[in-house]
Amino acid sequence: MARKSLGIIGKGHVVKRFFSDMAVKDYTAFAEQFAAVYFYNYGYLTDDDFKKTDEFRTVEKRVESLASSVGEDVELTVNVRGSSTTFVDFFAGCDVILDASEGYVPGRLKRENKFEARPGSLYELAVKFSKGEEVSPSGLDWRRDYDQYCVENDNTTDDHKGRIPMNQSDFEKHWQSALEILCIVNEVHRQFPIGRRMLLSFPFSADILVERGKQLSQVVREAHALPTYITVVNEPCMAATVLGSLAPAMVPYLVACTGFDVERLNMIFNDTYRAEKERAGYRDFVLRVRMKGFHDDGVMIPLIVPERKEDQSILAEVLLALDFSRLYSYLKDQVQSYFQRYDAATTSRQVSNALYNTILAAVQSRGKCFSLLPRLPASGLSNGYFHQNVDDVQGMFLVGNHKFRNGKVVADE
Amino acid sequence: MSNSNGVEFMTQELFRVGNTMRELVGTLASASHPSLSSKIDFPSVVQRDETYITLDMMCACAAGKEIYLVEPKKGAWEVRDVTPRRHRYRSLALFGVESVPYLAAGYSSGIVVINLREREQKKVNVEIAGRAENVAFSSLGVIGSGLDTLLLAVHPLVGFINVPLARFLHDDVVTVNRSNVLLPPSTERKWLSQIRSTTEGVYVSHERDILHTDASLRPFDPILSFPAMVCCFDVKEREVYCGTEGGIVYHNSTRLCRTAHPVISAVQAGVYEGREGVFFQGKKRSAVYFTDGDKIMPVSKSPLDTVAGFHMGTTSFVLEKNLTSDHYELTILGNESRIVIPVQGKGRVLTVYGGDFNEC
Repeated sequence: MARKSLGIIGKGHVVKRFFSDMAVKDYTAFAEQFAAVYFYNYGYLTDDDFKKTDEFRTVEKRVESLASSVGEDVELTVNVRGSSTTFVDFFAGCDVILDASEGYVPGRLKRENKFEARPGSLYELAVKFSKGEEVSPSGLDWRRDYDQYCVENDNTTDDHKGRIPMNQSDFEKHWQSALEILCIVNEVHRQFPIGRRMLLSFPFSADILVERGKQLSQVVREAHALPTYITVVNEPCMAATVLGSLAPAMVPYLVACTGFDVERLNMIFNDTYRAEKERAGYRDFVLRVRMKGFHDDGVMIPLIVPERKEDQSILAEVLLALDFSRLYSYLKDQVQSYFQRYDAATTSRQVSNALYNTILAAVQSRGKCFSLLPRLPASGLSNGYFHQNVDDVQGMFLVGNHKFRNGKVVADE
Repeated sequence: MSNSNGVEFMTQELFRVGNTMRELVGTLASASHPSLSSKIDFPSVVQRDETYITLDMMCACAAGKEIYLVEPKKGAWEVRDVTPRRHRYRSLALFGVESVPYLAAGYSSGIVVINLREREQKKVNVEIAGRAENVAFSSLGVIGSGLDTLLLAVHPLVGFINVPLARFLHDDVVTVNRSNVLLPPSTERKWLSQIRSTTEGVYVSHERDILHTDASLRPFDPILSFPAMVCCFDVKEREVYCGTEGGIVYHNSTRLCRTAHPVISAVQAGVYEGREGVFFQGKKRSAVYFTDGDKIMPVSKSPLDTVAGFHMGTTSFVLEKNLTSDHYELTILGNESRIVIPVQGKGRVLTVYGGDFNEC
C-alpha cells in the first residue's frame, strides 16, 4: 500500500485542535495512511519563516510523537510546500487537501476565547446584521480597520516574523469585497434568516476562495491525479460552491466538512429522548438520524429519518407519542445552538472527529476504484457534496450522507 | 403529526432552504462584485479527461501457484510477489481503471482481481465451474471504462462469461451464475478459447473460428475460419494474427509461416527491433516472423526452455526455464537491451501477460 500525503491550508484553531487531539484519540490509522503532512506556505517570505511559527512547531511535535508511538519504522514527516506563485507544487504533491484557511476579519478581536467587535469596524457591522439590526454601512472607513491590521500584523515583531502583510491597496480591495458580499447576504438574510456564519465568516473569506478557485482551475491541468479537497472554511458548503464553480473539474473531489452537525444532532437526540427510548424497550440502542441543508443556523435541516432503513420501526416506536413539529423545532433549535449545551473543548473535538473520519475515508478510498469507503453504513459520512439539479447539470453543495470511491464523493442512496 | 406528514414537513423545509440559498447565489452572481459576479454561474460539471493516462509498463507471470509482477522502478526492473492465494493460475490480465492498475488471475473455479497499488483483493466465484482437475479459466480480457468496466473470461467448462466490476462496490466477492454465460464452452475441452478485447470490440477464438462482437457483447459473429483448431491469436488494428494446431501462423486468412515446433501458445503482432513482425511462441522456442521478409528470428537461446512469452511495442517479455538450474528466468528484450531477471517460483509456468497498457 502506497502511503499518502496530506496537504493543509491554514494553521488556525481547527488545525491546531485536530493535531492536539492526537494526544487523546487513536490516530494509528492516520499514521498508517499518511507518510507526509505538507503545509501550504500562503503568506511567509520563506519556508523557514513558516516553520518557525508556533503553530507549525506544535504540529511537528505532535506528529513526531504520533509516529514514534505507532512504530519505529513508521515515517511521518511535516513540511512546508508551495507558495502563492507555486501552488501547483503543493497541489500536485498531495492526495488529500484540508482547506482550513480564513480571510482577515477587519475589527474582530479575540478576548478570553470569545470574539468581540471593535466599534466602527466592518466586523461590528456584520455582528449587527446577524442580530437583525437595521444599520447602514455608511460612515465606515476601511482606513481605520487598516490601521488596526497594521498593528496586528507587524512583521518586525517576533510573532509575525517573515509574514508578508497585505499592502494598503490589497487591504482596501479585501475590505470592499467583504462589505459588498456582507450587504448582499444581509439582504437575503432579512427576508429569510440564513444564520451567523454566512454573515460573520463567509464575506471575509470569499475573495480568498475566489483566488483559490482560480488557482485550482489552473493546476488541475498540470496534476497527474486530482486530490480530494476538504474544506472547513465557513460556511463550508458555500465555500465548496465557490471553489467548484471556478474549478468544475474539482467538483467530484470537493467535500464541505460538516459531519460534526449530525454528531451533535445524534447526541442531543439520544440524550433528550432517553426516557422515550427506555419506555419503548430500546434503552441502549443508539438512534442515528440525518442532516441536510447547510452548516448555518437557519438553513440546517435535521432529518428525523433513520440512517439505516431497518431502524425505521424502532424510530417510530420511540417517537410514537411525540408531536412531530415540536420535536423537529426543538432539535433544530438545539443543534444550531449546540455551543450553549457543550463546552468549547467538546465542540472542537466534534469538529476534529468529523475531520478525522472524512480525511481517513477519503485517503483510504484513493487508488480503489471498486470499493466504497467507509464500508459500514453505520460509519457513513455526513458532509456537503455536489447535488446536481434534477432538470439540468447545475447544482449546489448541500449536506447529505456519502462515501468515497477512489478519492471522489459518492452519494449514499 | 404522523410520520408521513413529518417527512413532508422536512421536505418543505429543505425546498425552502434550497430556494433561499439559490436566491443568495443568484444575487451574488448578478451583483457587481468584480471577482464573484461573473464566476458564480454554476457551469456544468466538466469531468477531467482521465481516460488515457498511460500506466507503467508491467508484466505479470504466473509460476506454479505464484504470481510475480515485473515493473520498472527507478530505471531498473523490479520483481515482486503479488500472489493473492495459492491457486493454480492459468490466465492473467493486466488492466487499468481510473489510473489504478489491476491484475486479474483466473484459476479453476474463480478469478481474483488484485489492486496492484493498494492492499485490496476482490474475488469472482464461479459456482458453475465446479472443482474439475486441471481445468481453469484459459483467458481473461477487459472492456469498458471506469465503473462500466467488464471483466471477460473464458473457461472450458463454463464458456464465455462477463462480470461487471461495479458489482464489487458493495461486496468483495461476487458470485457468477448461468445468466452471465454469453457463449457456451467448446465441445472439445482441450482447445481452449482465447479472448482479445480491443477498442473495436471483443474477439474470441472458438474451436476453428474467430468470433467478433461489439461492446454490447451480443451477438457473436464468426469473422474467420481455419482448417485446424485455433491455439492462440492476436488482433491489431482489426488484423487477426493466428496460430493453429500444427504450428501454422496466419495473418487473417493468409498463411504466414509454419513453425518448427508446432504447439503455439502465443502470437502477437508488433514492432520488434524497429521492424514489424509477428512474435510467436512454440513449445520450446519463441521467435519473430518479420512481415517485411521471410525471416524468422529466434528470441530465446538454449539451454533455456521457453515456456511463455509476449511481445508488446518494442519490448518482449519471455519467460524461460533454465534447464541447468531448473529455475525460471524472465528475459526482457528491448531494442538495445537484454535483461534477465530470475523468478523465484517453481512448478509449471502457465502464463505470462503484460505490456504498456492504457486505461481500458
